[in-house]
Amino acid sequence: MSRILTLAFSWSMIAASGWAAPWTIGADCRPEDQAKYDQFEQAVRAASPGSTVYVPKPYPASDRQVIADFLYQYRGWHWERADPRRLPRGEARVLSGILESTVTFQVLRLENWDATRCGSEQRSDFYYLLRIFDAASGDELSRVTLHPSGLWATKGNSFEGFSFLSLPDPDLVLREEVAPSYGVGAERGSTQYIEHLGAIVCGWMAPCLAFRQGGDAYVFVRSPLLPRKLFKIAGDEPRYVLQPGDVQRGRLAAIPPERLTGPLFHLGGNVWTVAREVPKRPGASPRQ
Amino acid sequence: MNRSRIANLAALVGLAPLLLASTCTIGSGDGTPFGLNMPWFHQENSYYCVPAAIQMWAAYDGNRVSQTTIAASVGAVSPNGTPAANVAPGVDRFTATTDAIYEDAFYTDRAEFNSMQITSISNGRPLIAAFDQVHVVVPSGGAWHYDSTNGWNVWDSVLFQDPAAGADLVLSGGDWMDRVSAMVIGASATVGFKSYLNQYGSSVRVGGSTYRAPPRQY
Repeated sequence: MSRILTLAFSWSMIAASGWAAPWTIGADCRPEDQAKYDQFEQAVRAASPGSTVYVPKPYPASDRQVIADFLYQYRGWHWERADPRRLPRGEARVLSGILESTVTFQVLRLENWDATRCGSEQRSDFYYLLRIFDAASGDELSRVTLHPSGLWATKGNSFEGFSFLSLPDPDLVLREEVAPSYGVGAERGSTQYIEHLGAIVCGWMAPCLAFRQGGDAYVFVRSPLLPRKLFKIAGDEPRYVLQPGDVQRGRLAAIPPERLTGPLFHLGGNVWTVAREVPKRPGASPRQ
Repeated sequence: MNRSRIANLAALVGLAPLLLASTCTIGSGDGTPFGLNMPWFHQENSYYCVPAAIQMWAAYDGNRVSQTTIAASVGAVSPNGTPAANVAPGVDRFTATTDAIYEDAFYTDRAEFNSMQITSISNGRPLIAAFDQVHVVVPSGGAWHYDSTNGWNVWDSVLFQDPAAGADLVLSGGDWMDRVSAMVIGASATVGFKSYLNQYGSSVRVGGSTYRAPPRQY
């Protein structure tokens, strides 16, 4: 453990310092669910080893605590005993790196714009994103998310034929990738990485850049697998109340057909809206 | 032999491999991931998650088919993709499964919904799961461990293939339950799923969750 290094990059420190205040366009969680969230938090804080909600540092407050929670949970899987052929792709490098303490970590914060923000048990306004690097080569081996509780959420590895996109300072992405192609700027301090799964896919492996401008929200999809696209969720775009299952069943009568010209965007609970793809400026390079 | 006896026999024959599979997967005790080694293909454009998911399932069954062919068949259109009602017929057309059904998590008992998935995977049959009603993934397996200190079978994680995000992703059992809003699954692959609940129901726990399946009698 002592040889496991924690990297502290400048932009993550800036993001944590508060001037870039986290924000969301998501609907508020239902007030009646707060008691449930409080109960879950108490369960996590009171849990002892062996419990399904035990972590050594409940609701971690520092990078070191986040890493400690991840390592405890990962080691608990005992994948070193598994048949290597049954491990997920890229896992052998991650596993040996963790067991032999030859990896380094970076901890970032991803805002959760997903329906899981107001989960059935825990509220997760954000995720801790752990980036795991091979210390010797600097290769990024894995990305892992933990809930604010410290409980593990998701994990994915790089492997031959699949590499992660870099995650530079969000302002840099805005300046170098968004502004030249779309001519759109952002309110100061509003850029952030988000997770959102839906018709606009912003997974934890390739989070999207979100920013605000003039009452509108923008989501820039950066993925190694899909074309880069910028979507606008206008502040005055109507919000639609759809019942559970309506979207997947195609029961969209609440949305005028002439408005349904972009991907549906879930704002949480029963509230949905429509995002609009922003066209590239004429002559902008088709950067992928 | 009358009809009901044939049906009972068929059910028993169907159940035998299931019980065999269950004894060597769930509760095996060491947390080793088990799964189908599903192939992974990334979706070729932003609204092709369903064609890519069916393509993975078809490839698992040894059928090679392009995403554009599947997309034309299931009516995938920009920007919001494939109508849910077309997914099961698409599975029936392009994979070895011929009895795919659509199950909505909102209207299905939670424990039964999960048990159907586990049963299908244990039977070596894929399924397609919808995340938040508008994106689909293909589960490939998962991991359980037996906790000898309390006698629990703990469902740790689900391995899945995401056509937009990547291959062999791992999600905690609790998060999987929270995210999946519907699934398309082979009906015969789920035969006996209630036996899972009966056998494991009260001892099953879910990683990252305080959820407990209600006691049941079948």
